[in-house]
Amino acid sequence: MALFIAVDVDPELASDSAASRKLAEVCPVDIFKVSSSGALEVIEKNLDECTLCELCLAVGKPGQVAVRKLYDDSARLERRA
Amino acid sequence: MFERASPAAMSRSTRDRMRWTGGSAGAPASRAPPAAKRPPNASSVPFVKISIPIHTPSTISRMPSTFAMGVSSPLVSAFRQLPLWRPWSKKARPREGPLLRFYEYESKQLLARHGVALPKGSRLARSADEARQIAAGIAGPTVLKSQVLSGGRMKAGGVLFAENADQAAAAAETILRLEINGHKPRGVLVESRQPVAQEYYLGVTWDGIAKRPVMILSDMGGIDVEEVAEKHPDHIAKRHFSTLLPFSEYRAKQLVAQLASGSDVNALVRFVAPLARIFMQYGLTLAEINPLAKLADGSFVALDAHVDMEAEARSQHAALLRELGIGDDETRMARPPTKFELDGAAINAADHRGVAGNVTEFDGTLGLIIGAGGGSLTLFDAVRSHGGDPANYCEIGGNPSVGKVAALTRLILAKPGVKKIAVMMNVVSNTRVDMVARGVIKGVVESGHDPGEKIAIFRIPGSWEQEGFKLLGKYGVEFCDRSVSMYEAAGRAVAKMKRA
Repeated sequence: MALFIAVDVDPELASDSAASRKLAEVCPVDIFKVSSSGALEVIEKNLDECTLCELCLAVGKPGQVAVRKLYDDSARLERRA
Repeated sequence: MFERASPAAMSRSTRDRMRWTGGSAGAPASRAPPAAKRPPNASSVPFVKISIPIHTPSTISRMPSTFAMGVSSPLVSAFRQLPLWRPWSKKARPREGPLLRFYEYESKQLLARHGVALPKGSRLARSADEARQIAAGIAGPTVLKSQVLSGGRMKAGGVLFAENADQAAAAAETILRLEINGHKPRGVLVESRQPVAQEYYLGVTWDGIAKRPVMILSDMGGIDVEEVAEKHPDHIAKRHFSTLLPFSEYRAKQLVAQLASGSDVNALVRFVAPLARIFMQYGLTLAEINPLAKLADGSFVALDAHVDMEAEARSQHAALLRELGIGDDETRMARPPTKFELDGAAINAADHRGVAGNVTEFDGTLGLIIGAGGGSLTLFDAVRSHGGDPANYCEIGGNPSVGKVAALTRLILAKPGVKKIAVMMNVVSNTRVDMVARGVIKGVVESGHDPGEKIAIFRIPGSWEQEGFKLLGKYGVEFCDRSVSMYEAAGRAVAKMKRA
């Protein structure tokens, strides 16, 4: 279980296969994965490796992807409009 | 029958080596250098002068030289208690390897290529028959020496004298069966035994303080050069030389002239100059001839030799190593790595990101996760000088992944006797403070402990430190920034251990 980082992905974005592929592509520490069925998966064991690079935040519309810092009162990192 | 070499008659560099390399016999406790003292005004200065200011992976391998130069360090003392400091294996080889220690016969082959005179014969025999043949070729008294990478050869009966070929064969048979400190001999070096008029010590090594190579000559060879330096400083000549300029005979003569006169000067120059050149040419950390003997007829020969090559120089001198028969997979360790060390190396090898898990095991109670361009050595020294008792020496750096640091932390905490860990580095720019903090906390939590309790101190100032400090604060870990010196941070960790 991740101790430090959580990621929230809007269901609408997660159902978009192109966006899911993009998320998997941009994350440098492989937090996102597209399953064989095309569904977006969040790899739990990699969450704590998140470098807070914010590349995932740029995928989709503002607010559709958020990174939460669990050690900082769940402070949210998300793309602003 | 052959006779056993007496301590007085036999080459003594074996004993030196045993002590310098912390061989299995180890340095007597009474010989350990005194602990580094904190300067009286330490609290008012941002940086504390620690005894070993050299910052290369090969620092440890150079420690014998710093010790020989009279440099005191708790780290030197600590490492000298180990047979060899850094473990590696074929299976999981850390990025920084140890030095490559040559057998005596290999060292002598290298010296002979550069014109250094050796005793007659001087060949390796791998069987009693070979020893007989070599001894027959010498046609006179011989000395047979076990070829092991360990000190204590003479004491263990690994050095024997013979008067003829048959005796030499019998001696070789005895020596080849003899295991010395857990090492089976590679073979037996057979050489002529000659009457010695005087013994010299000659060594070239690194002076970590001057940051230059230094030649050391003593006219009291065959015995512990450290002892000579302490008790008979007038019998030691020392001279630094440049790593950039070609080494000249004139430099050698400047050294030799301090202790020798007449024709001996030129004779000794023929050993000093090649040794200095070999030292530079092959990336050595130590090149030593001890004893360098003046024979009854006035000639000089290298009775024993010892060469250590910088591990990083291996690939550069692959051809030489092949010619000497040193295989790529030969680790040349004085002791096998412990399970703890192998597990650490495996952690390091399992993830390419950064360095974490390059460990050496000690018997203490404070686990150390330390690093930053020599900072690890300084910190280790600081812990020891505060009276701390490290359970390990472990460098981290290069931005290791959270998982890697966590695995390392779990390993260190699983080591019996470890009460707390201290995580300390100098100021880092290539390693993220928050990622290391995450890894350490994760490892502690996964080991079933409270980070606030188990982490004695966290002192890693540098990139992303504010993020790291937030994290550490959340878990109740004591941390500090660069306004607290490394020495002070080590002191806090040790104080906490003492209170625990």
